Amino acid sequence: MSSDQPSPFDLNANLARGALTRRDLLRRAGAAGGALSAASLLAACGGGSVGGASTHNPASAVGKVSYPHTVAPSWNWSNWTLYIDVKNHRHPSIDLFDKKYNTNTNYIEDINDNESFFGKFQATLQAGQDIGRDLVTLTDWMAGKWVQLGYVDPLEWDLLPNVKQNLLPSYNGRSIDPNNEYLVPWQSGLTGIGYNSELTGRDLTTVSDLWDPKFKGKVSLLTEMRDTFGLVMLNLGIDPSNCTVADAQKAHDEIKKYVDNNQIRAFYGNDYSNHLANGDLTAAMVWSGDMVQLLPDNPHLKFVVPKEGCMLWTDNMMIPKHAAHPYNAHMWMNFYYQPQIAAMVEDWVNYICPVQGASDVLKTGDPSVNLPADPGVAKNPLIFPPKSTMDKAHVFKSLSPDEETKFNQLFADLTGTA
Amino acid sequence: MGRVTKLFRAAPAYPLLLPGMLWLAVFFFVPMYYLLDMSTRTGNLIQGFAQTYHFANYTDAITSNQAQLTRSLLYAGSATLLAFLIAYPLAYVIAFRGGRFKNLLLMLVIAPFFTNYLIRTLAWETILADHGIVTHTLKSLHVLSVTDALGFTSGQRLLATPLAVVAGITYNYLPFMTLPLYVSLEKIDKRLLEAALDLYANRARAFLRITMPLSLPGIFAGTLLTFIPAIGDYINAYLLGSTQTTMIGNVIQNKFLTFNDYPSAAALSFTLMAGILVFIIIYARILGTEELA
Repeated sequence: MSSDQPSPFDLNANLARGALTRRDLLRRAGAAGGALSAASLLAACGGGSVGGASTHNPASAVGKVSYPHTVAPSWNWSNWTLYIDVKNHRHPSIDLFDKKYNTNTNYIEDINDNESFFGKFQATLQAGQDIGRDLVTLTDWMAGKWVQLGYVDPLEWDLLPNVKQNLLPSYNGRSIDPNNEYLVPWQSGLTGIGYNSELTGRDLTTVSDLWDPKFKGKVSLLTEMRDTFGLVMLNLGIDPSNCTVADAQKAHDEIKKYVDNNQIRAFYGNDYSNHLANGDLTAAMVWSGDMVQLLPDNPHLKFVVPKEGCMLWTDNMMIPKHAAHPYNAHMWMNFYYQPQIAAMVEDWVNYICPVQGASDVLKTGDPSVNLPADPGVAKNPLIFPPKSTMDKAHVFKSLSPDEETKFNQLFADLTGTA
Repeated sequence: MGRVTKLFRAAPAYPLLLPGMLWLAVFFFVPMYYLLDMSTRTGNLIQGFAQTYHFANYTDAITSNQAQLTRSLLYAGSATLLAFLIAYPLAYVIAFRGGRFKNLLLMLVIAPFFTNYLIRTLAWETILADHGIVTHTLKSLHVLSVTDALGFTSGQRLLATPLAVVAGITYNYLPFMTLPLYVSLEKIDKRLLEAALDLYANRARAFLRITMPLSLPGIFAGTLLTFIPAIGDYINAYLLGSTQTTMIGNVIQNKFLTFNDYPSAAALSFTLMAGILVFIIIYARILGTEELA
């Protein structure tokens, strides 16, 4: 689908920005088990510019790589739906990139959830073939899995000076990629607690507050095993970035008590948004990205980072093995890590930005990329969290296949799907 | 000799069967074969699943998911019964009293299908919300106290209870019940009813002796079209239910997509299919509807 033809969904893009997040879509698409072809509905817009052969070749160190250091006339990037800036049915940041490098970015919004994207390409990757994508954007634990399985090409850091310079230090040496060899963060989010202050009548500060008998049947946890176990582990004094099956068992036992006594109403994906907004839920484990959308419309809702810590998840850009145009992918990652480009994306996406300096650009605006000032976004602690929050944020560890099975089983026992 | 002639005479029919058979082969038999083959394998996604004829997959799947299997049967059964009780009078009125509004009324029955299944179910989240008018009304009429006591609901709310799940399933599959019932009621020869009344049968008796038996094919088709998808449904249980109302579809989905445990998921799917098949056979025997098939 070309981006100069308005796709039916683009009309809703601005609406969607307020009412629907990409996680919203992914949960629901997940719930439909793929029956709802959100992918086809939303498969919006590849780049539109004419792709002529290009020989753009910036001076760069030529290493021992097996691919040419030239920009290919077109390349493919898979991302989640509603996860990049949109204006007049186009993606301005991608347009700028295409113009600068004289290429044609085929931007494919075909990731609805990590598991099914993995399922779709696993056999091809295992067979050592090109999956037709030069860049994919997957969440920490799935990205870690690809790295473990050898499905990802190492980055060529000489091509990424902007990333080197502007990647926020807290993203260095994450357990899923300890030496920063494979992953470049795209967007992040925090998992914490959301609550309706009118119904609680007090401020919540810790995960233990969710177990207050006054909120019986009005509390929900998340369907994402790592988020729910992570927060509960932190509450129990366990570090989720370095936990064992025994620790998961402890988290399970703690949660099980409250499942059995009906303290916990359900495990939700983004569905909690509606329920929190309309008072069906008093308090819930929530994602910061959803709260950015919910808080302005619901003044009585609050987001809190539990005092014992919160979870940080990141969607990471990475180059699949045997990709045909890895050079373009490198160029894009480096391009995105310019603060003004990251600011363009951030002003629309509203998740947490891993690029240093983007908030400064948003404070003043940047006419060179046609970006007006948006101090509201620049000062929003959910989009640019203060250092004190980031210091409390933990990344769930990369589980071995065996651990993952056991963790999943423990979690499924809680959600009634063991 | 006779058999050969028969085959020969039927020959022109074979090419006509071809598209259907091909469709079945590609989209039914082949996937079924893979599923069956997968159901006795062991291993994991990364290292691959090896065929070890591990039939314990079946016994494990059944024993560890008894609660969900029972629940699926119970919820799908209740929803089918409810759908029947709602759809029969509805189809009856449209078929016998619809007059010139018949087509319009049928349109209205199908109208919800113009919207996506998921959206329709999400709408129920709003309808049954804790602070919504439905919950509020039922609460003030003390209906929820009764349903709470019966275990259909809990905590004076509708959402995240068995009642919400069953209501959602009933609503979503109601047209599948209504349409076959309508078709079988519509084609009943009204003169038979007149004859019955002429022979001094009262209306109730005429209904029981004529209308009801003649609509049996519709009842049979309607209940199957409702029950079979309902028992495998997991959207309603996911969106309207809680951890205590998960159905077998939720387990299969979780095993396929989250666990990547294809063998147990396949074994569970087959168990479910076998269960449904047995049910259909028994049901067909009881209704004695050989001529319907």
